[in-house]
Amino acid sequence: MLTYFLRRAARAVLTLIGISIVVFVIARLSGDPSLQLAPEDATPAELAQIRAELGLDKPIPVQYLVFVERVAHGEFGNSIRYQQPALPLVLSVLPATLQLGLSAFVLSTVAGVLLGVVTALKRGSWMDSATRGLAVIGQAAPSFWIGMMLILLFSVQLHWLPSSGRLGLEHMMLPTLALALNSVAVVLRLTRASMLETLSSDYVRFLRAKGVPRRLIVWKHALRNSSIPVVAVLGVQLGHLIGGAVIVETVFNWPGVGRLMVEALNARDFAVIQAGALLVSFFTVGANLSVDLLFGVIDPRIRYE
Amino acid sequence: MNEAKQPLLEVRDLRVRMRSRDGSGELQVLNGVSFGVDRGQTLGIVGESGCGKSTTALAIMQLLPGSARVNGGTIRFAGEDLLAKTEQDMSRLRGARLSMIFQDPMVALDPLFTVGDQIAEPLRRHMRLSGQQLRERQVSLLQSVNIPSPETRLGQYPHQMSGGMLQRMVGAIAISCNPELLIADEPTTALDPTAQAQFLDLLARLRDAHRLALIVVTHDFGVTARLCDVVLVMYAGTVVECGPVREIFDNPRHPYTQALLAAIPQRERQARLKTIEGQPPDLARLPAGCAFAARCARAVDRCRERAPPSLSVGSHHVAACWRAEDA
Amino acid sequence: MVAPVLVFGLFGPWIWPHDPTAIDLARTKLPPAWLPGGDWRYLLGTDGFGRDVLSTLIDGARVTLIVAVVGALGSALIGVTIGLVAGFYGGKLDALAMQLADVKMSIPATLLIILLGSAIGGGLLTIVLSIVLLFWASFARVIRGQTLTLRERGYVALARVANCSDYWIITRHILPNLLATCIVLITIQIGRAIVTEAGISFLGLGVQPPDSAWGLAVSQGRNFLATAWWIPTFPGVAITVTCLGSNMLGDWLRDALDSRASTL
Repeated sequence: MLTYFLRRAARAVLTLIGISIVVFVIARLSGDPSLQLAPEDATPAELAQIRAELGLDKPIPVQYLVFVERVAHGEFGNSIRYQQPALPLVLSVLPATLQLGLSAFVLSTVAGVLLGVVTALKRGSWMDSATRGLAVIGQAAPSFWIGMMLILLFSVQLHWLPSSGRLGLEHMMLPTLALALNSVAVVLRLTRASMLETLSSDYVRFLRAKGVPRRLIVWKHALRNSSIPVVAVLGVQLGHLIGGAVIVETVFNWPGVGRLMVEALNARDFAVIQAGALLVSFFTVGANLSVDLLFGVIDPRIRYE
Repeated sequence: MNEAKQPLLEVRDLRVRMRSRDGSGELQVLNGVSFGVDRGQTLGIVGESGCGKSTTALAIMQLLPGSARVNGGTIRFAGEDLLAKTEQDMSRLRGARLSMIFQDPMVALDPLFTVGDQIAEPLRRHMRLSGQQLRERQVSLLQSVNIPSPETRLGQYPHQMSGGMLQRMVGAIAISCNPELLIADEPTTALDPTAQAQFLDLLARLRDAHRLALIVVTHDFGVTARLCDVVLVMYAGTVVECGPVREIFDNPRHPYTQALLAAIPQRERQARLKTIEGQPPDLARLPAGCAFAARCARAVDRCRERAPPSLSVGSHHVAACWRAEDA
Repeated sequence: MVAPVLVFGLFGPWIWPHDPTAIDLARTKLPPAWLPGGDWRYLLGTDGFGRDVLSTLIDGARVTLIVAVVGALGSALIGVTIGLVAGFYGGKLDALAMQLADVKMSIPATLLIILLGSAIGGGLLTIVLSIVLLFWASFARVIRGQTLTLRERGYVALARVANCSDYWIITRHILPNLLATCIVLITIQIGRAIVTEAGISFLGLGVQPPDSAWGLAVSQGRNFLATAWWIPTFPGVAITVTCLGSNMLGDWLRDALDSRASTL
């Protein structure tokens, strides 16, 4: 088990390095930073001086290392908009995004698995068909549009739920639902397919031959076996949810990283964008690593690899 | 067979229909199968692939796949009609009074749970054992099937054991709650030869120790020779011959049985292996007469017109052939 | 299901009832035809500038589809190549490819889009580039898996024995077998690309006015959600229906090609 974890952790570290390279490269794509920071009428000499200050006259790999070192110290530069260090700014809004993303994750996992199991057991019933129909639509619709439709229905027409802000529980319901819908659909379909396959396998037949009651077969054996492919997908889903949170936040005016990033985008606030991208990506890597560990817990075969 | 009282298991005229694999129609996979087994007796069901022997076994346990259904006949176990039982009733019977083991031990056990956990399941369910008592029983079960260091094995997972050991464990699970009937569907086919011999010995021992009624489904006559008292030969969903094992080997009366026995490779140097010409009939379109007629060297018109019933050809020996007398 | 959208996309320029760019300030924000105040000449209503919603939908279909198809094909090209190489040669190349895919998958999609957009601005190029960057990994993973299996097939071994070059083996033996999977994947990814484009436009990084695309329409219509709900709703429906259609088409193709392959 330990070797498995170490191997996965090593890959995670490599991934983190890769992400930092990507962020660095893309940031450099935006052109020469010295031009942006310098006043418009700067002479070539002044420009050169600024470049030297920023370390831009050094070769690229060195620049990258400088970048990494700064990142390690939490320095991303100052936000142009707020005139404050970028990293603490991002950190201050991160909890809001995490709250949204994690609740959507929990919702989609629990609802997706439960519905998947139930529709597998009641295969062919109207409930099965209806749920699957909804799932298919949920997978195709863009989350921000769903968010807007939910607002239309629940806020504008029915006045049941608020459409923006983050004050109480009722403020969280619509955004979470909009965000989770796509994921629920994916998890549901996968669980259902996996469950159907498991239920027709040989060891389930032997379990029945032993006289094990159906309840145990489904919830102890079948569920655990079926969840293997689902857990594999959960990590990816978490990544999607966090990415999706960014867009949904805009629709619902949810004060999280997403909204901050969109504002930063409009203001060309590179420091904040880089800080946000790196931070959230690191978090995603951590989440994926946890999912990998979960794999090891569920499936003993992997532990003994 | 003891004719004075009812046998433990009695199957009469069992018929099973199944949806074909491509969904295009239905096949009559069992076409009137009848036999009986008593405690202490061993019945062997032999035939080529697709003849319906596994289906018969699954039907007795009410474990037929969803695409199959019983459309005729009765199955009586200790006087009770199994076909009338609900799934709940059957799940109480399975493992406790009638048990079944399958061909491939590697896929018979859930790979995510320890072997010990899976041994404990029927013990908890049917015999309500727990704690210390449960553990002792688990260990003694493993010992009775010659598995060394049982305590360690209990905490292991299926993928950590060999096929032979797993199958012995499966056997232990099957008799753990002292059932009266045990069905073994091709129990040795997936094992290597050494493990095969070991397992057959084990089956014999278990049968004698527990006075089991044992049904062994196999395509291998060697297995029947070793274990069985009575042999049932099946072809295309019907019983073509049934009798004591010695009788069947020394004096087979049905042309199919004769051909099967003749096809067994002899130990002496043999020029060619004998095969049976032709193919088994399409179960979706069974002929009106004897199902074997198309491949039978002795078939006459009568054979093709009417399916022969089981006719007595000796003491406790029947064969479904119009020409059984002339061997 | 995909048919209507395809029709719109291909024949858009000829069948829209009104010029989608025609601004008619006298007829702003008319509701759809079946509601009170509606006008049957403007079937789905008009937007804040008086443009016919249906026409803008049809016009947007063109851009949306082109972008989605180009993006999907581009990511397919890169993804399949990487997957092929990784699967065929294995070893370090494979490890490298998979590590790259891991990196990509760890950056949430929207953030990558924002990152890219902040660097190179908005517009069609950004959309296509984003789609390519986002989707290549899906192709690569699947193709790699298939290549690994195909590599072990008998005819590949034979080809090796006969001293065929790697290039030959790949193009003559492996690629044709991958074709079916590719077609299915591309079909499904087109649907996803449409949704992605919508997201990009929604952020303001995609198609810029006065061109129209569905995502942009939803974004522009946001302000009218309470007052003129039809403005953002119908583009969203179009997106959903098209994505749905492409998914179903992909599934159907998969079944059709699968059964053909197994009867071969």
